[in-house]
Amino acid sequence: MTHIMVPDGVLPWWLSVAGWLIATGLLGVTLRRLRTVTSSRMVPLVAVMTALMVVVMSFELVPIGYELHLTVLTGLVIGPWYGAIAALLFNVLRAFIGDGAFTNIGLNTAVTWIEIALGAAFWAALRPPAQQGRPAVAAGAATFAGLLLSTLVFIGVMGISTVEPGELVETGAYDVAAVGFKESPFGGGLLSIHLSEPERAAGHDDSHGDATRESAGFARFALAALILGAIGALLEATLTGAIVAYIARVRPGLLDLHPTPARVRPASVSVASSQG
Amino acid sequence: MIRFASLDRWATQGASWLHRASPVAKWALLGSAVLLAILAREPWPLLAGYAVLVLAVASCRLPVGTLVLVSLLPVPMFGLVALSRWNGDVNVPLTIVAKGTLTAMAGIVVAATTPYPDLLAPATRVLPAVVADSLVLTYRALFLLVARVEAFRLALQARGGVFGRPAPGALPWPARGTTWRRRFALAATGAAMTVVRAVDVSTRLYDVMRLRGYHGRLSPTRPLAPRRADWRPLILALGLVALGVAARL
Repeated sequence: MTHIMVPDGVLPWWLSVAGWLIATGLLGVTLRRLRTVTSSRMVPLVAVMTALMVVVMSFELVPIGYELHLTVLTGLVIGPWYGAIAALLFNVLRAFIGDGAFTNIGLNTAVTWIEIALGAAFWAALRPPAQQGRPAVAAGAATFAGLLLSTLVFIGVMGISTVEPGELVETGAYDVAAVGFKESPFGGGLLSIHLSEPERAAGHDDSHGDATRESAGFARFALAALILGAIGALLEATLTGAIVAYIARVRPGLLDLHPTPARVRPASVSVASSQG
Repeated sequence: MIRFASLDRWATQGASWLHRASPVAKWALLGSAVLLAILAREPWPLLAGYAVLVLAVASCRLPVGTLVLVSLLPVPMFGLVALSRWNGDVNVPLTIVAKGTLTAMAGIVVAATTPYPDLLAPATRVLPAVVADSLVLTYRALFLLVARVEAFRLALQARGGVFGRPAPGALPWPARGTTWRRRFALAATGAAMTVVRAVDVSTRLYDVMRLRGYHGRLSPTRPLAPRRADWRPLILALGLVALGVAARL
């Protein structure tokens, strides 16, 4: 579940703004970290890996609503910091081919980067077994763990989106006599954008019922996202493992794997040489 | 699979009123569609906006059916969220899906009428050099990789690696002779070869750029000045915003 597949205007505006702030901060940290290294050689590689994610994304597994992205593989090849740039560019391009929300590019950049960074970190941890001839298993495990954790982040973001910050922050003035907070004039938030609320428009205040329905809807969503995400993660982990196994054979340096020395069989001593 | 080559061909070879407009005017059109998606609480203004964009596509002599299909591709993805917000009122999931398809259509309309370097010209002026350059080079890399994938697919079919055509009357999935295991192995090998090839391409690209004097910053050359043809996309953008405001009144 590499990105938040929610259209523009569905998530609360403050969450989208927070996503943009996080992405900007991430980009700032990335540029700061890359300031000391010569980045011009990496520019084409970042571009090519971003293009690879976009090309792979265009093969959609419609029955489970899942798109392969090879984000973890991108993390293995270019690392987490260049991966942050790739995550941003990938989400910008996705939006222009009709596969993402423009307002959620910030949030999606953060989620994509989490996958890339976690994948790179897990791969670094699993490099010893990969070095010992099991690169496919190590890459598959790193991919599965990275994707599953990012799915949890995605579900968490969706959970946060159901919270109305006005209800949490605007508690009103403290009333000394009543030892409590008065009702706030901004209890509904300063600016709120919601979907259609026909019952409220008709004058029925059924906020408790709405909250219960919303909670049940989120639980259903979380369960479905987790199940479908796990299936998708398994498929992507298998594919990534197979790809890494191939790369480890033909170009191990690309994954920071040292080529294993060819096994040298003891030369059979020929009769002629032993006699000579 | 989205045909990137087709998208690029439509963008570069067209000469319609939308093709002639400046990138800034088209970004404004895109922004207005996003604003409509944010403002709308009911499906009808979104569907009206979508219909207006479809008419714009038709007037630009772009393939309407293909672009509508592409704009509907994310629906299964949005569907999960739409169903989760179901509260007995069909308007709620319909609004969510309509929001998604409207902005998808707007993005595709802009991408199909604007050559990629022009499309990203405004962004490359404000982004840091390493990000802006990567964005520009992604365009080139995208077509190289797509060509590579296409060549691999053709080679497989030409040499009998995959029997893609089912027997007459048979369902599509029992393709003759090719097991799913073999298909997966071929797909993984193809993807792996593409990755290795991609790295080679990036190295070659860097060497060529260095020879041409690249020292860490590509100079943007695309003009952003307003053009005479901008008035129509700007009126369209205002119309979408007016639709959104009217829906809120």
